Amino acid sequence: MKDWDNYYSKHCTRFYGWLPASKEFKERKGDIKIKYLTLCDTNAIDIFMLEMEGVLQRDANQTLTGVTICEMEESKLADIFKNVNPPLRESIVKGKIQQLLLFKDTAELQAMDPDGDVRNREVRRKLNMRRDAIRLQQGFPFDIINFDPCDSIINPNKEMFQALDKIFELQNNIDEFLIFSTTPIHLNDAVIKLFSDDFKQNIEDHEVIKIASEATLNTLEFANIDDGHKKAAIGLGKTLIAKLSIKNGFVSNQLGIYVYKSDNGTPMMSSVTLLSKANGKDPIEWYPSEIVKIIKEMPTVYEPEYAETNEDVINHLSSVIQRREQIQSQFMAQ
Amino acid sequence: MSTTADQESGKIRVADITLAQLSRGLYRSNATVFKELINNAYDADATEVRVNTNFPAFDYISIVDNGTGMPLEGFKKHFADDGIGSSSKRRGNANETEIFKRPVIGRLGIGMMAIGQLCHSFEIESHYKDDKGNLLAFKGEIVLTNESIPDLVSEITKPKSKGKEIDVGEWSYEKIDYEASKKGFRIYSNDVRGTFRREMRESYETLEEFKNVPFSLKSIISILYNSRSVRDCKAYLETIWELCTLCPLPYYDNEKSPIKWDQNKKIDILDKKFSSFINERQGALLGYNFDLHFDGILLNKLIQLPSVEDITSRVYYFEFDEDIFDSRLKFSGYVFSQVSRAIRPFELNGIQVRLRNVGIGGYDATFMKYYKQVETIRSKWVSGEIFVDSGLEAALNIDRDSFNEHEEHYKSLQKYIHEVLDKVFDETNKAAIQKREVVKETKLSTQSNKLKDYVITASKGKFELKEDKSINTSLEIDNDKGVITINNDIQEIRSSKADQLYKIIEIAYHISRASKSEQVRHDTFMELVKKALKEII
Repeated sequence: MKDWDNYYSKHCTRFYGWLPASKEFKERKGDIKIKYLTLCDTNAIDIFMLEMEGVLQRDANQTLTGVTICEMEESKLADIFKNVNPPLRESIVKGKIQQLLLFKDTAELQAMDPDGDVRNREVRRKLNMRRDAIRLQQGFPFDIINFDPCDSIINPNKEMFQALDKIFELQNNIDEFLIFSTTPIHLNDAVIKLFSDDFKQNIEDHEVIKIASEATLNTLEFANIDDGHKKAAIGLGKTLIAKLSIKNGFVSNQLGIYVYKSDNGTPMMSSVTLLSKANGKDPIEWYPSEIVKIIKEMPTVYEPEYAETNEDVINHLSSVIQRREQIQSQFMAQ
Repeated sequence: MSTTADQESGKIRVADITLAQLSRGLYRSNATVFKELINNAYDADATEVRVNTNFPAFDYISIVDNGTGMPLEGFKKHFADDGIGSSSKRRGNANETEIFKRPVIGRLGIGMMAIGQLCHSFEIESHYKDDKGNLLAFKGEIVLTNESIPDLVSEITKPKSKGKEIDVGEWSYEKIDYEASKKGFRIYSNDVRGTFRREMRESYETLEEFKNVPFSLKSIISILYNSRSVRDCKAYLETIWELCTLCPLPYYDNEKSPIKWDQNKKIDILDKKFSSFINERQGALLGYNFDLHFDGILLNKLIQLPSVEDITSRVYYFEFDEDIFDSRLKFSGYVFSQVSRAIRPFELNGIQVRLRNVGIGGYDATFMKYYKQVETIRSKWVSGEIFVDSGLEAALNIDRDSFNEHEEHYKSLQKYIHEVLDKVFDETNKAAIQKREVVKETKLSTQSNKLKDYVITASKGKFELKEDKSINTSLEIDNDKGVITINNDIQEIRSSKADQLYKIIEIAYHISRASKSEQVRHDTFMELVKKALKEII
């Protein structure tokens, strides 16, 4: 099992990617309480990191409100309760995030008493899912979203990508938000074809993209890009996130895309994106330059050797864990 | 049933129909359900148990401990081989746990099924070390049937079904990898009954102050002790209260004692042994090294007596150690009484019996059916705890929340406590009467002084008031000397207050007579009576 408390590669992404973007976002927002959605797993490093750095704040009663956690594994919930002690005031949403976001209500379920005791186990499951789905969906919009579902979001034909699309849709009523989208890098043939076709179209439509591609990638063919990480970054940032932004009326500003290895060696990618309401702005005004930025500057790769010897990252993670333990023991003293 | 070594499944059987009740309504409250599972963790030498209800949604329950866990063989025995109620715990003779030497609580091996009262199905996970030192783990799932108990009962009582085991659900397990961080036993459910969700949400939805205070034991104590009754605070806080009362936990607060004697100078501890008794008791509870967290709150016993500041109270200590019907009965404890004020919250009123440190059934406001005082207001002034260290177990009912009141040890305990209560109530009654007299005297004295001032002011110095118990009437007026004499021992009217008013009216009448015109006399009289009523009565 992953030891999140010593996962330095991942923490590089948080430290150099998520955290600066979050702090800058919070600074611009001033005094408003940040609403945060996360799929944080048991150790909740991101929650305590953001709280330690002043992005998430406790109220006068030392309660951390405004945080929603979604967890799919029931057995992990007990550990999350323990580690994120004290209670957050918003309960944890249980279930697979893609199922909760894509949940479609039915007249039959609507007609049932949500607190009624139904004999049929399958119906109960659906009612439970309905309850969590409604709670999650009604919690939108969020200021910052940590969308780290363990499954791949790169394939548009899969549920997880559709869940990301739904997130963009549910964020409709907010002017600006930050999202960290994390995925294993797994480019199958269908995905490569999709990215290739989209890349080719961009080359044809936008001269600046063509120039950047030639200069940086030494090729105009997606399939010929040597660097697999670069391919994934372009696909994720351009074909997926930027397109979702346009579809849902946002302007996408890719602040960074980061690559690190998971504990089983799978390459992981996390993008940090700032979305702002387009308010009628034509995509042509921002899309090409956004893609050029991705091609030229991204991704940043954190090798394990780098991460495990980076004192800034190691010390910072250590201080986050200390913070978590301090809060737990402070609360117990009450 | 499949026979794959790493995975199996089957029907849950019970040894007899009474144990089939476990999947329904054996336990009287949510807290007693949790208590069963907490007791199991205690018996497994856990140092920490965490109960979570996914507040404020209450749609998920988990109880996680870091004890010795449940071996797979125990799980299979529990559900498959011999049925529920047949586990080794039932037949075992160990009186103490292995590591912390805690007095073992559970004997029947049925506690795990208690959670069936709160949810339709649940999962368990156990990470443990077997007898050979192997680190093993398994995950299990239990799904309870939704058939009603009457249907189950009619099934078992059919003539041809005599002795038949009945199915109350299905079980399955699979072996998983051991994880050190999950050492112990956990039980959790996302399939929580609607009744539980609804009643737990009531506290959150109806108590404004509950939403605003920090989520700590201190703030909860404040809410509970400012309420007349814990029940007014609804199910969620009631559950916390019950767990604090029933579980083997140390006392809360710096003094680590139920009696706040440092804060209250009017408490009379009638036996010096009480201090050492409480210190030993607290020391033992702390020494068991057992932390219970409920939704992140570390729980302690919440008893804080007296419930009113600066009140005359007494603490009676007692102890007993004898053989009753050839088996030892040993208990000790205290009874606390505070004069003239009811114990708050109400749920602290009565006697709490603790068997091996576990509360059985909550505070009994009948004082084990002590009928002499139970109907009077004075019984509301009394609270006590009995710690049974040896014996009484045979009297414990299957729900472990009540006693068989005909059992010999229970009868002996009851008789002894009633004798203690005879003394407690007798002395409390006397103290109450004495207090009432003192209060009455003080009140009379205050009123008398006010009346004297009133007479001088109202008569503009023409009259003064004196008290003289030798006069034969309640009031004498000497216009020439300007003296009004009263005798408070003589009452014209039975009610003291009415008699006082009567005297005032008479005094006001005499003073107002000095005025010449009838209208002025009338106005003066009314004014004087009004003033007297405001200032004196």
